[in-house]
Amino acid sequence: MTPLQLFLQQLANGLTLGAIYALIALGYTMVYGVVQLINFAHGEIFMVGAYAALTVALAITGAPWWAVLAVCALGAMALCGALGWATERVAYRPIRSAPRLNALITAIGMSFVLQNLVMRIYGATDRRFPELWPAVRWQWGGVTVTLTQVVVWGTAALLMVGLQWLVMRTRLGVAMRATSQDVAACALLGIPVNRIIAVTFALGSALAAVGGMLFGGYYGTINFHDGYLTGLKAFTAAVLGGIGNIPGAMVGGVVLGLLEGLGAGYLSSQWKNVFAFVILVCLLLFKPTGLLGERVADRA
Amino acid sequence: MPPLLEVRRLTQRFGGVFALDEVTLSVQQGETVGLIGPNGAGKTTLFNCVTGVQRPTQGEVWFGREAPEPLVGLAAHQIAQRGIARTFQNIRVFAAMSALENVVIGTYTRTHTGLVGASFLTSEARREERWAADRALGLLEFVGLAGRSDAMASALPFGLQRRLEIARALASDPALLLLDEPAAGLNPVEKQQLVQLIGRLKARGLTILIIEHDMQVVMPISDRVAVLDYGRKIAEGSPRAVQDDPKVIEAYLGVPTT
Amino acid sequence: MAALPLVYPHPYHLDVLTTSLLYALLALGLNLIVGLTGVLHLGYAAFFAIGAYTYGLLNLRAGWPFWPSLVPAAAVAGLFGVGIGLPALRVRGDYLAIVTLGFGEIVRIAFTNLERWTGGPNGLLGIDHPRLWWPGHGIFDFGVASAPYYYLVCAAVILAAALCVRLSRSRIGRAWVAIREDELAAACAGIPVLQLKLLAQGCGGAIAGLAGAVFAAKQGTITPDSFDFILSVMVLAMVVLGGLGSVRGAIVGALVLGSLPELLRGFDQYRMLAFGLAMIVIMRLRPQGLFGRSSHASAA
Repeated sequence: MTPLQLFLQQLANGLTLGAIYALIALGYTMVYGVVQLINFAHGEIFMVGAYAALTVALAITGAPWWAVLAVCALGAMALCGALGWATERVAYRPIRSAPRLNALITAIGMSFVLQNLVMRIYGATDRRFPELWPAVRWQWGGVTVTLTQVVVWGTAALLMVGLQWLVMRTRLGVAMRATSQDVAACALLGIPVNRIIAVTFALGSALAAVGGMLFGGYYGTINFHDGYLTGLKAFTAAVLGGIGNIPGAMVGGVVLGLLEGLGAGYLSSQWKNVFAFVILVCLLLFKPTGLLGERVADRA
Repeated sequence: MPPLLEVRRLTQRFGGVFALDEVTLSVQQGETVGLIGPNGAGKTTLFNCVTGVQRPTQGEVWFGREAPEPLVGLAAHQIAQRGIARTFQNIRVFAAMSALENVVIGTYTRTHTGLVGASFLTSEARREERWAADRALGLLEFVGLAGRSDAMASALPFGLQRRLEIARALASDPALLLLDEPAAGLNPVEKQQLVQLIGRLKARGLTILIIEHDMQVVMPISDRVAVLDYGRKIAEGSPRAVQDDPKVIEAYLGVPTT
Repeated sequence: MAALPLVYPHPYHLDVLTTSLLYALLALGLNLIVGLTGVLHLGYAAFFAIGAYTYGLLNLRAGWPFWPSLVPAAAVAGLFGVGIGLPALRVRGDYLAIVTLGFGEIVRIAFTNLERWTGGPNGLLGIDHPRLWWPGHGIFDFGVASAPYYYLVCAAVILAAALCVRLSRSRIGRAWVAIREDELAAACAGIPVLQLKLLAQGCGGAIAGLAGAVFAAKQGTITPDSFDFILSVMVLAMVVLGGLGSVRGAIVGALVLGSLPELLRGFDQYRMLAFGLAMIVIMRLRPQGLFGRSSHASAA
């Protein structure tokens, strides 16, 4: 491999990872936008999404792969959307006016509950993912691109365009944007703030679910622990793009994926998992507004 | 003698908006100065710039009579250590602490017990602890909270929380006291009591800068009144002169009177 | 309670109790940071790890015995707390929680990867147990028995609790609580907020460092796995259950959650689930914990 080929290869890998991070990061950023909560359990919802897709995939046989994939995605989205809605309803809404420390502790508790529930149901060991798509690969000038990567890119792009349309062009999107500006004013104007917040949780969770499915298909296995680390990386991506900023989350995810892919390729894969943390810590210390964001990270 | 507090051409800009626009103001030792003006005129912003809560875009703040010292650039706690205490427009008492503890916090700048003293409970630490508690009890009585020292601050009625905040500010034995709308939300009886309380503070020789909307509170106690409107000082003088100033009436009523 | 080993010398139960008391020591330290000062710290296990590795390395590389190693173990962990606090505490609110979490992970991954010094994933082996000269008996080696460690940890908890009670009733402790309640009002009352937060991190870190040294001496072997995020969250759950800011609460919280696996014998695998649920339920129903002062309910 020439250096250029190596670089392009790492670029392709990083972009794949980044697309998955971006899908999860959107949930962090949307929820933070409306309720200023770092939803710690969001990583677990992503993980639940992966398990949901796995379960659906194992249940269906004999259909073409793209149909199975679509059903898996829809199933995981529906389940996680409901789960996101339920966590907001049961755990976060009752304490919305309490000090923020309480909300964050609740979120951590929720993360533990989801993680351990999944562990009870599916076991503590890695679960192998069935093949969601055929193992097709193409060679372009020495760079290998797999169907896996194409599926990840395509799905992520589709969902992000859809989300952008929803947020910018629909009544729901307008209400969401308004709520993220000023909850109290929206309530006075008759916007059903509670419903908007719940929908935001559901929507973010559904996107994370697809991220989970793609993650499982990409790595071939899933473990109940995966939500924590991947969730943190996705959160890093959200901060990278400026928390609360939806296009920022997309850009942040891709940038983080690229950095990680290139870092693992050129530096050391042993320290791979530290990159995200180091980036995160440096970013919060020196540029808490992120690359595109304008929100200041000082809400106590 | 130079003034105790001197604000020179203080400017605070948020984006394109001037919250303060070259405001100059001085407060003499022992004086009570009222700061009035419509909502959003920049009064609280001025307090924030003086107490180090915000850093002004431009301008200077000097404090001290013998050796005046610039305050801009100092942190809030450093300014408090130099003898400026304040209250807040929307009450900020320490909710989970008793009334007594709230006031004892105010003695922080006047006490010295550190980690070692606290861990070994040295006689010095014990003495200081007693001194702070006595002082706090005295101040609670002074503001009319005698007998409520063990009440949780959050459990006190609104009017008493305002007084608790004043007691906390007094505990640091400040040279200058900044009161940010102390009468807001009080009923007429409480307002009258507040005027009396401020009168007693004046009688003790305390220098006070007070933001207040209620003319019946600010006029009788102020030696001098300054008026802010859209971040500019539009008038300054005796309470009577200011009240009759057409510019002030215009600012409040929004109609030109000339 | 101190004489328990004489009346009830069941070694296994004594061991569980000793472990719970070690948690209590950690909870006391974390309570200074989270409970009193209101800084949500999610990387507390790092201080524990630093204390353990400090003793382990001093013992294995320089032949230091246990007792004099306690001083550097506490000092290094405390200084580390101040050192990371210096940049990190500039970040506020939820973001600080994430930064501390990042630091915690970086420390753990660093201990795993710096194989030349730390033995990597296999950790440090063969650390000396404490030795004590006992009048009339000569030198007594703690060895692998349970009772001596029980006495040691008991003494440490009593000392630390006494220290915490004194601190919390002092000028310093009051200033910490004032910062927790209202940072701006505290600063305007003349409290140097950053300095006091650093002090809290230093004290809390030192207590964890001490606990780490005891842990290393008791186990004889330490691996990076013992100091993961789950430990940080467990200790946090203990502090929350007991009531933020309450010394008694921190100890009771640690004893309850620490001996939970024994109380729920046979339901061991549900322990983490119970931790998570406990955090959610407490935040919803009794945010002040078992012994905390009710505060925000009316102010928020």
